[in-house]
Amino acid sequence: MLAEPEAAALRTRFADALVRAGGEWFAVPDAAAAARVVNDILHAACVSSVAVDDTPGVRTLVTATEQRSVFLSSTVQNKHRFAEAGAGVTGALAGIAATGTLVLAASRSTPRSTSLLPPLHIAILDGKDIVGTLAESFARFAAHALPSQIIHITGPSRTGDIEHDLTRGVHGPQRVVVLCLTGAGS
Amino acid sequence: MLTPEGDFDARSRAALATPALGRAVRGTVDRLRNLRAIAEADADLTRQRRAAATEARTRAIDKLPELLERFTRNCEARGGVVHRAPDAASATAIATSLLRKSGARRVVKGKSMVTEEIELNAALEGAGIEVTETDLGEWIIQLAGEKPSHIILPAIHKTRHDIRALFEKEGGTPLDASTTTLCAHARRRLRERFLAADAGISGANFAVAETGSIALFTNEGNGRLVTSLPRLHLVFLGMERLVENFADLAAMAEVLPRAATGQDLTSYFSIITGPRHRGELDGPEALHVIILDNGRSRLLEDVAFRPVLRCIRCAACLNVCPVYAEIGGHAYGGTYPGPIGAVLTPVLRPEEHAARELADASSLCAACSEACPVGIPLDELLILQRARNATLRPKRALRLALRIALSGLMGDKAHGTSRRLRFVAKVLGAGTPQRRALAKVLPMLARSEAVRALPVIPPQSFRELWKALQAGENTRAR
Repeated sequence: MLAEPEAAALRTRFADALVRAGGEWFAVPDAAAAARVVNDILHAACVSSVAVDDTPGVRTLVTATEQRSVFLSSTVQNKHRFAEAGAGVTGALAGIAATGTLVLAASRSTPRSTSLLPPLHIAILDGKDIVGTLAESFARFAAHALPSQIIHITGPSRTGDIEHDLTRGVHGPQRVVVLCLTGAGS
Repeated sequence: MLTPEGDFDARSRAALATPALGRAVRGTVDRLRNLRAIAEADADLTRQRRAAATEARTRAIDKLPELLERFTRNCEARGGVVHRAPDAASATAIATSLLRKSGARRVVKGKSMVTEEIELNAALEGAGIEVTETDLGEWIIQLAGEKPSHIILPAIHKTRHDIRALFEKEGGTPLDASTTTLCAHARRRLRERFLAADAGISGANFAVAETGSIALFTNEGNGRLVTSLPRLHLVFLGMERLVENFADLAAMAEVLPRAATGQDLTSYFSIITGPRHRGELDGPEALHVIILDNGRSRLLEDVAFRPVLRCIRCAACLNVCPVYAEIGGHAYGGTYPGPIGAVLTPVLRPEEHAARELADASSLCAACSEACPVGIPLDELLILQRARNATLRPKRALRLALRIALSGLMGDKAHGTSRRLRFVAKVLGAGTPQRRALAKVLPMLARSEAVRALPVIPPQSFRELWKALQAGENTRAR
């Protein structure tokens, strides 16, 4: 367990690198605050359908409204449903401070498509899971029990293939928003 | 395969006679070179990172047969199937047979130089399988019926107007030439293909022996779609692209994005270990890895040229090469352009005269060797290749080399030593925040990049460094 000043320093490094890579950063004290921010972002982006990972801390965050339907990504039988969703909400196994990178793993409750097919990806990251480097994040995985895919996400999808004019969201999400739980509320 | 039309001399003459090509290529490689210079600005850190990556790659090549065997065992233990293809024909035959057996008719492809090397698309189309390239640059090239002209930016030679024309023809609807419109069009059209595809084909930046994993570094996200949506995933792996373990993979992640695009890490970095697990909703049901030799074993035996196998295809050597900037990638005639292509192509295809003469496509300025993150002595190998050629073919080389070298060197006037010029260059060097801000108010600046981007200038000049060193200060070059 890191002392709070060190954890805060890692959060700051992560946030700086994430923003440099084109991502968006919100620090929230607790899950209730995270839920408020997530719902505000979805409202502002006029999202009508949201895919939500089936993990503790994520599955209950998003509220369905008259304008907005919410479905658990673990229940999807047809991949078109992800493609039609306006946003995907996931957790993250870790964050890498050096590069502002989210670390996700494919599993039954966390399909690959949630963070990939919708144009907006919102990730809930526990501040305690921010590590310094990629090598430190690797050390958290056991070589004999790897997930089928470890996904490192650093900001939005981008391309420079048209006259090296950098553009976001060519195939993956155009926006990547990270909500970091700082634990300050507890 | 080298293109049959003319020899290198004729192709480079044709390229030099097309000024638009030179402008498009030069502007982009200058920007990439400057982005790399910024990402590698910390000289000590860069030296450490490169040393670690070079060590990991050298060790992997030294024990390649053992690592290939370990990779195969571990990949298959995780449910993958590994195939070894001695040459291009057997690699395409394996893929065709796997796709046929699974009844796959529509294939989406991620970017892969190895599949270019074996001309996979032509073979699959010949077998009645529809193949769609999904990397934006590769799709543009596929629509144009051309080959990539740069390792990481395959459509570097295409202008937005060329691209608009290709997209309008493909989609049947009029478009404007803005990047936003063109990208949105590609996203919409290719999304349909992803959702309908039966199989995905990708390359691999690295394979990890200890875990049997495949690592992919991408920016657009098409690599993730190709490896996540279709029920079958075929991976094409160059035989030499092994690393021993995750620690080595982390070392590669420190150098590859910085050297390629000047990013600290690409937008996506996926590590794939076997097909989807039971109960997972997406990811392929079957994963096949086709390991391509195609001359690499012979290269392993060629002690002098062996370091070439360390190459991680970052294209940093292309972006600093004065010859590449002038003639673009197509003039090289093979799959791999630039200095790495000039070294690699002749040793992969020693029987082809046209491949050997690529060694002449260099001024021997050694910028390529300096840019290489895994320490391949490209300029020395070019000289060695010339020496080998000289025993076969005495004349001609010198004349051509001089001509191209001069045309490359002439352009490099931006290096001034006066303080004032350095200040201007520092503020206006491509990729700096100041420049981006200025370019918004001064459109002429943006236009000037079409001709040549100012290089990034180090914070201290050589003279200042020298003075400081002589004064005995412990000043570091940064």
